[in-house]
Amino acid sequence: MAGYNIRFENVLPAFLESLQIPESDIWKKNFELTENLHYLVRAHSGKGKSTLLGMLFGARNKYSGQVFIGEKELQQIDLMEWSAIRKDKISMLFQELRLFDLLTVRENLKLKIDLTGKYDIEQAIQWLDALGMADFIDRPCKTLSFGQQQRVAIVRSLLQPFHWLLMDEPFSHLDEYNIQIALELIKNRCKENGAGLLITSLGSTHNYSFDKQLNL
Amino acid sequence: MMFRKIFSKLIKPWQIFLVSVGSFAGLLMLWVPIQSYFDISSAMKSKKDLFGDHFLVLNKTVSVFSALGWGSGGFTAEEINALKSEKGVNDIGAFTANTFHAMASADFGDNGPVVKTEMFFEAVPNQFLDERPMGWNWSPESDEVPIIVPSDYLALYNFGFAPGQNLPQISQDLAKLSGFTIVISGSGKERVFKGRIAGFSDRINTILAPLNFITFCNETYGAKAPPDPSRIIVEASDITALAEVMKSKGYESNQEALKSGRIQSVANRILTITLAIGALIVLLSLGSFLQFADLLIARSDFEIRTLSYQGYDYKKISAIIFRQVFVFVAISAALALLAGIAIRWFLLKYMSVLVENPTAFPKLISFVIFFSVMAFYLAIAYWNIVRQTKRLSGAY
Repeated sequence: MAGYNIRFENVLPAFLESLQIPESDIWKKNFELTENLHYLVRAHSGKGKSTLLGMLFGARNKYSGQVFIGEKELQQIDLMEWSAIRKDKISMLFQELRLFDLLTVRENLKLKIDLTGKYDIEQAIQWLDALGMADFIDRPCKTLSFGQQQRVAIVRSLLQPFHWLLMDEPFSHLDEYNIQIALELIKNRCKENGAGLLITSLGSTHNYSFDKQLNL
Repeated sequence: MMFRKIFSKLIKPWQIFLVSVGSFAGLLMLWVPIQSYFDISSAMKSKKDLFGDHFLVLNKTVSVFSALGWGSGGFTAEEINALKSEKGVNDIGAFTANTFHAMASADFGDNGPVVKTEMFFEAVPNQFLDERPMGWNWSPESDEVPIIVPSDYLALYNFGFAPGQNLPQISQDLAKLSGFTIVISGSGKERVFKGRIAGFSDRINTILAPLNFITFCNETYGAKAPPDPSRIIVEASDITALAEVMKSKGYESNQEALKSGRIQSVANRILTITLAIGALIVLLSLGSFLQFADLLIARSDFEIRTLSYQGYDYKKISAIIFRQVFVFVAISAALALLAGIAIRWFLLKYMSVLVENPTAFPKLISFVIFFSVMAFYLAIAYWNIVRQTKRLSGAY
C-alpha cells in the first residue's frame, strides 16, 4: 500500500515566504510520510498547520516546491479527481468543522453516507454513542456546543474509506475522557483501512503513541 | 430535501419575494406579447391593409396643356420603370383602358324600362385586386364577363339616390345576382356578352374587367393601339418616400389614401420602437432569475466548498443548485402563464373585433416560443452556475 505515501520536496507556503522561519521538520525539507503510520504535527498558531493539511487535501495551492501523493504531484490533480480522492482516499476534519448548521446531526452524516456508501447510519450512531452523542442525532447542529459539534465532525470523517486521515486540531474543545475514546475510535478505523494518520496539535500528544512527531 | 435545506437559508424571504415579483413580471411581459402576436397575426394576414403594404392609384396632374391635348397624360414605360426603382416601391401595375366601343343595357321585364348606357372598362393585373372574386376569369369562348365595381358606386346609389326616389336599397349580394347585357363593337364587328358583377372594390375606383378580356377586345374591336396608361397602381412599403417622389414628378393620388398611408407609416414606426423598448425591458426583467442564481451562488461559498470537501464534485453541486433555480423559475413561469391565459380569457370578447372565432387557448406556437426563450435563459443560468461552482470548488 506504499502507493499512497506522501513525499515533500522543498515545500514552503506562500504566506511564509517573506517571514523569518525557525527550524522546521517540514517546510523546505525533503521527506516522506508513510501510508500506515501515525504522525503528530506540532506547532504554535500561525505556523501553517491548517495550510499543510489544506495542501494535502487539495484545498490550498499557494506554495512553492512539490508534494507527491504516490507518484502524483498535487498541483497536477484536477477538480474531478480531487472529488474522487476526497470520497475514498483522503478524509479530513477541518478545524472549523464545516458542518451544516441547519441540518441535524443525522442529516450531516447522511450527506457523507449517501455519497460514499461504505457505512450505514446505524454504524454512525454506534460511534456517536461511544462519544456520548447518540441522543443528539436529530438535533440541528447549530444547537450544539462546539465540543459536541467536534465529536459529530470526528464521526463524519470516519464514515468513508481512506488511505489518509487528516485532522486539524480535532480535540481542541474535548475533555480528556472524550479525547481518549475518540483516539481509540480513530486508531481502529485507521487500522481497519491500513491508513495513515496526520493530526495537528498546538502541543499535546494526548498520551497517544504516535509513530512520529514533527515540529512545524 | 437536505440540499434544499442547505441552500434555503441563504436568501432572505424579502429577497425571494422581490426576485419572484421580478421573474413573474418578466415572464408575464414575455408571454403576453407572444400570445397576442400569434392571436392577431392570423387576422393581420386577411386584413393586410392594416400595417401592411399600401396600394395607391396614381395619375398625372391634369394641366392646361394636357387638357388641350398637347402631350400625353399617360405614363410611359420609362416613367413606370423609373418609378419602380424608387425606394419603398414594391410593384407597379398599369391600368389598361378599353379602345373599343361598349354599351351596357339592362332589361327590367316586359313592362319595365330598358336602361342603356355607354360603358368603359379598365383592367389591372390580378395581384393588385383587394381580393380575387369567385369566377374572376374569362376566356375568348366565354360569353359571360365578370366585372368589379367600386363599393362607392353602390353606396352612392343606396345612400344618395335610392332614398330620394323611394327605391329599395340593394345589398352587395343582391347586386351580384343582377345580370345585364354588354355589347362590344368596333372595327366593323360586334359581339354581345352577358355582364355579371363579381365583386366590389374599396381600393380601385373604376369598373374592372379581367385583363385578358380587355386585351382580347382591344385587339379584336379596338380602333387604335392602346394609349399609355393614364393611371397606375403602386404597391408601396414606404408611403412617406413615395409621397416625396410623387411631389417631385407631379403625380397625384387620392389625398385621403395618401394621408392614411402616412399615418400608418408613422404608426408602424412608433409600433416598432415601442416593441423594441418592450423587448429590452422584457430581456432585462428576465435577467432577474439569472440574478437569483447569482445571488444564490454568491452566498453559497461555504456550502459549495463544504460539499466539495465531502467529496461531491462540482458538476453534482451545480446540478443541486440549478435544481433550486429551476423549481423557482418553473413556479414563476407557471404563474405567469396562468395569469396570461386568464387575461386572455377576460379579453376574449374584445378579441372578436380583431380575430374571427378566437380559440379558447393560445396558439401552440406561442408556447413553443415562450419555452424556447425560457430554455435559453435557463441554459445561461446553468452555464453560469457550473462556472461559479467550479471556481468555488477549486483550491485557493
